[in-house]
Amino acid sequence: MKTIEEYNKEYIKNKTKTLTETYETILDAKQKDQYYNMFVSIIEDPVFEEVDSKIAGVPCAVKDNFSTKDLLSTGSSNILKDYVPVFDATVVKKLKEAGSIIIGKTVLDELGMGGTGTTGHTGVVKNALNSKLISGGSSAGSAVAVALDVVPFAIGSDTGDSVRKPAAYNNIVGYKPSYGLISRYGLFPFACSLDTVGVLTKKVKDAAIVTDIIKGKDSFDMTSVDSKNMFLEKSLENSSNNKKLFYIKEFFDLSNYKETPEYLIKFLTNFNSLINDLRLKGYKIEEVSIDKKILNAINPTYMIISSSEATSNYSNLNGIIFGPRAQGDNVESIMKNARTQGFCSLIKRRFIIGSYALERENQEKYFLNAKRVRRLITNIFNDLFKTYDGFIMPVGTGYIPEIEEDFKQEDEFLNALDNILQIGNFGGYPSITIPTNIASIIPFCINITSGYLKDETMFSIATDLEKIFKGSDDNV
Amino acid sequence: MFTNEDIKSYANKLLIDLSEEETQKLTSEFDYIKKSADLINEIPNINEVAPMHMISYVGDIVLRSDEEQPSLTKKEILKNCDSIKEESVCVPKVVE
Repeated sequence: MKTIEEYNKEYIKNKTKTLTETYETILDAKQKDQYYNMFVSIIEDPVFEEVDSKIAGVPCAVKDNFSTKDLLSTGSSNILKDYVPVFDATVVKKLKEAGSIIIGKTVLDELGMGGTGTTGHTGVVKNALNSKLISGGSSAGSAVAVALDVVPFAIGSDTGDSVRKPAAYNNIVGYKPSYGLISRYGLFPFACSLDTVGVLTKKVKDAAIVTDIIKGKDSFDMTSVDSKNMFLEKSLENSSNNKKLFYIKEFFDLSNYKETPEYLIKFLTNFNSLINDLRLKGYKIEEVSIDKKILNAINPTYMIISSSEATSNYSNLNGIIFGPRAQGDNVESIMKNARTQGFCSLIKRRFIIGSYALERENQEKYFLNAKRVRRLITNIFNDLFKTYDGFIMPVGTGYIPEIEEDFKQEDEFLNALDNILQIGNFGGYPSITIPTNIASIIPFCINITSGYLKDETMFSIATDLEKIFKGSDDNV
Repeated sequence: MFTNEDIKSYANKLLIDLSEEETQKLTSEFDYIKKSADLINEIPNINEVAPMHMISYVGDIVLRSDEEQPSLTKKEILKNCDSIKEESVCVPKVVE
């Protein structure tokens, strides 16, 4: 696969050739989509600005929960199956202004609320490396489009780990920036206090190049932050191995798990070997202890906060404000019928969890306590980031379910390990998944998370690790 | 112990109907969901921590200047409407 720089160089040299190659990219997208189902829509005749930018002439894909003017934007939900926005999301506007060529809108778990890539209204997205396995989600189509070399980068969104987990399942790079670094204007809101725009690529450098262009303060998003003094691509030059990292000790003690399947043992062994290897290369990596009760509370905290915020955010999907008008005798029955027909069972399940947490008698016990746990965890990590440059963990548990499998994680501590990346959303931290090239039945990726707005530090670690992994295939 | 009526009541508040199959499935799962949610209450003295609603250190909030912006054309507004009559949006009857 060509890098963004290579695409851009070719564009500068010969713009007509770029146009011809774009049609080849569209053809490639269509062919691969027939089997992998990663696109909701492919743009037959894309237009692009002739400008001087680092992503000019570079094709990309955008998750279908971003508003694209005059282009279908469904959120992979039946309730928005015909929705054509009248405006571009800020990130889409910036991509267009920079001359990138959007060739398609990608499938997600319905409205971003899922982690499997199996609940989009247009069907299941297959894993790029093993089509029997789930692709991960919710940015499923974006991850698979990049992994299959259809496009060198794709835009996703990340509320819990929706960019970083599918990136790991498809062995590519997935970057969730600090909260507010990229404007959320035009992104269908799922849980506003956690939602982040993210980027999926094959190379760390490509993620930095794209984010330098699409980040920035936006008057349409009051939570967006000024980052004019942040230069992510430039931060790659500061790559060095003198950074101090930590990981959570409890996850590597097998006695903490109710069950210790073979895949988990192999997974943790791989990580330990990798840590030892990095130490030999000069990294200072220490283990840190966190109360198991707090670790066990990570995923419940996420479920309660995100589901509660979602019930509010998606209350406008009622067949009157948004969505196809349903039949009914009065306004309430019209809205109820539209919502009942428009959402899949999984979405209804999440809404009901939110509704339960927001019941008057439950608000203190669940909704507010979840927010208290969020602060507790964020305080712990904010303190750790005063001492350490980054938090290093493996992504997942060493197991990817099959598409047809009705998978449930019964062991709560294994569930905590599987969902550890949600910490990145609690504190708004920059967080990136990187492939390691360790030989394994499924991809073995690691994640680096740094302090809030320390995206440059995170990138300098990520690029150094990428070089180490690239230079030593099967290094452990 | 949750009943089908409990689950239907939570759904009803969000203007959602559940099929019998959906209700049964969720009712059977909800004890597990509650058990999982209760893990947050196992943390000692959690009620002494202030709730975190947002990332507390978001940037300065600057209001946009009060300038007139171009608005949508009638054609654009009607593009996503299911029911249109003489360039107007048809809405359900709200007065009984």
